[in-house]
Amino acid sequence: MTRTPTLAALAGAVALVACAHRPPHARYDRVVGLETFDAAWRIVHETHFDTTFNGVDWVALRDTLRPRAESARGPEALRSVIRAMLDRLGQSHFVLIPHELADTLDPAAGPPVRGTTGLDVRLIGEQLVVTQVEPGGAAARAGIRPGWVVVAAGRDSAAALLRRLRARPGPYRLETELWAAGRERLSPPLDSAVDVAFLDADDHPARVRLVSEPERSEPIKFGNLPTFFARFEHARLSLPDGGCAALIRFNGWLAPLMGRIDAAVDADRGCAGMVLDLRGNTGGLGAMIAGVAGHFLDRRDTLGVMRTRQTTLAFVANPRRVSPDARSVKPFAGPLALLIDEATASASEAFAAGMQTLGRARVFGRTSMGAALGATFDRLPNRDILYHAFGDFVAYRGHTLEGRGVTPDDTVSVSRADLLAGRDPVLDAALHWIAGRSHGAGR
Amino acid sequence: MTKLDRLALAVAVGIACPALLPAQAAPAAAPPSAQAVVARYIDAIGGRGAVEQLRSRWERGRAEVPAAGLTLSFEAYYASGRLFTRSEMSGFGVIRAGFDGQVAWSVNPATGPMLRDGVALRQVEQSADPLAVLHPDRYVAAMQTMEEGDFDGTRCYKVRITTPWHEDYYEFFERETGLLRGSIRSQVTPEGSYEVTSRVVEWRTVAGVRLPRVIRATMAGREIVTTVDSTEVRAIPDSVFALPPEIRALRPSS
Repeated sequence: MTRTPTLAALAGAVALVACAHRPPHARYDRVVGLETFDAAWRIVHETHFDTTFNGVDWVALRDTLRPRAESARGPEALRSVIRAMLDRLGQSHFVLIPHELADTLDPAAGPPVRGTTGLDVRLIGEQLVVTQVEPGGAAARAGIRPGWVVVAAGRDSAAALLRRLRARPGPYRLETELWAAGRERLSPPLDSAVDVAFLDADDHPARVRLVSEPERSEPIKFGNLPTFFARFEHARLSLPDGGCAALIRFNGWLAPLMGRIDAAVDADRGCAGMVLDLRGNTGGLGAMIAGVAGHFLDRRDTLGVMRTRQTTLAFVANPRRVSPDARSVKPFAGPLALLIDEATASASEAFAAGMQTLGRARVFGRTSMGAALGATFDRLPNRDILYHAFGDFVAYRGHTLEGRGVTPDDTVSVSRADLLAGRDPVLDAALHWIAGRSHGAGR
Repeated sequence: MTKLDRLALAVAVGIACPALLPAQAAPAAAPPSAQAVVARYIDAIGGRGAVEQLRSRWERGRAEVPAAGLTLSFEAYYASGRLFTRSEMSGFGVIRAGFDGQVAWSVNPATGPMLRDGVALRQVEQSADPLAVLHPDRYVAAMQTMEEGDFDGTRCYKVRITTPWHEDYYEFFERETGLLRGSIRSQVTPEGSYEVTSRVVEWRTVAGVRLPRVIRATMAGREIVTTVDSTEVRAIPDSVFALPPEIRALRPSS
């Protein structure tokens, strides 16, 4: 199995940074290189939650690959050996992050600047379709709209990319692999350009040169991980009966966002229902799911457990019985809808699976990524970062999510026509359900 | 990244004020009794009188996870069995935790305000009490010297402590100096228990009492180095230990 570093990084909270680095030019130290290989092997050997290593003979693999690491003539050659080793596990959350990537964009060293063209895409049918265009961003100013089809990005045609991914399947479903590959190609480093061929709303060819601009979302640097750019949105939506539903959307489970989530839930306690939009949310701090779940659970319910080599840890909801301004409140008891898709991963999947199996939320959209392992990270001797899984998330009913994901209660797909018409059928389905619950069965 | 959350939490309530408990004093050949080992430990850190005088202090320091590049700065206030800590980590936020003599609590940006109960409450109470080393009956129902052996490269007496709340853990006292070298103890968190192996690698003297200055702890294969950079012996206003509004609102009486 193969796995691009990009995709695996996306599967954790590492996210969306993979192609932004250049190989270092410093002189390569082969001794340190071999130490790095040995360290990466040892860390996985000592911490992987599964002592069978997902069926891989880990010792034999080291013996096979170590001579290649020893003879590597540069950092990229070494990295390819280590990545080959990690890829053999066929699991998410095993990523080698180059140090020049991990150590840049540090908010502490000045305003971090990452490039973006302001586009998101998904596989719809056989086409790579624009699903989101950031208002005011490079793509928006170029006139690109949701529903346009990406025919090619740079020299890569979307059709050829799709064929390649089909020919060499990765550990994830095709739609997840293409989403990650498409985003990578549409997100060149800051100030660089990518020539993109589109089909517009009328299926007319359109060629646009997009220049990557500074990312406007909030930079969050956590330890040695690459800087994550956090986004948060909150809106109060109207229901047909005149009531309201809260829509809360965030792209990562990051502690600095918690205050905004708390405030959004508190502001809309009076609404009939709430929607958490986890589409494109690739995970983050697992402990946060206990805090967010507590906004919707009035008991210390267990959402699932994390099995590590040494112990089993529970994700237990912390009922949120106090508001941000220190008033006593009850957790929100109305209908809760969760929106997921193939780019929903890790902590988002653990949250969705837990809330779904507890019967506290209804899940809408498409099956999630299936990348739900607990992970941590270590600096290696050559200063690269090894992001590695140490725990397997097991949902409330005893099934693991890795490799299979969360299956929605209501599978809802988005068509190109929906996007061109400005519709979001997944959100619409959730709001329809909330409206029905607030009218009928009540809370 | 879940492990990191727990590290932060652990640092906030446990490692900044490690529950390195009683210890003892020692003869040589046959392992001495646990009571003797603890008595010797009390002498080694300055004696009962000095410990009893050190009722309140303010500490500042940091806890680092070197392999992960994480640094958590903290300040901790101790007074008469009460504790308040404020910790901060880049990319995570501010964690507050405390014990006012009855209520153990934490406010963590990842999980929200939380009350501690059960074993977690007792562990916080114990770590908050500067006199814990002198009053083992409150925290120690029984103790027994298990053996003499190596711990962290030093000959130590291994003492098993059983708490009144039926928790067992181990402490290691240096045969030569009588000082506490480290401990192995399960730290209780909302998600479950972690076995933490702590090693005191450097001591400091505060008002005649020797206290750990640098502790290396290993938890789930991860090393955390806690360093106390400064200590001031001073009166701490009661207001420091007052329950914050969000915790008061959580209490049943509110």
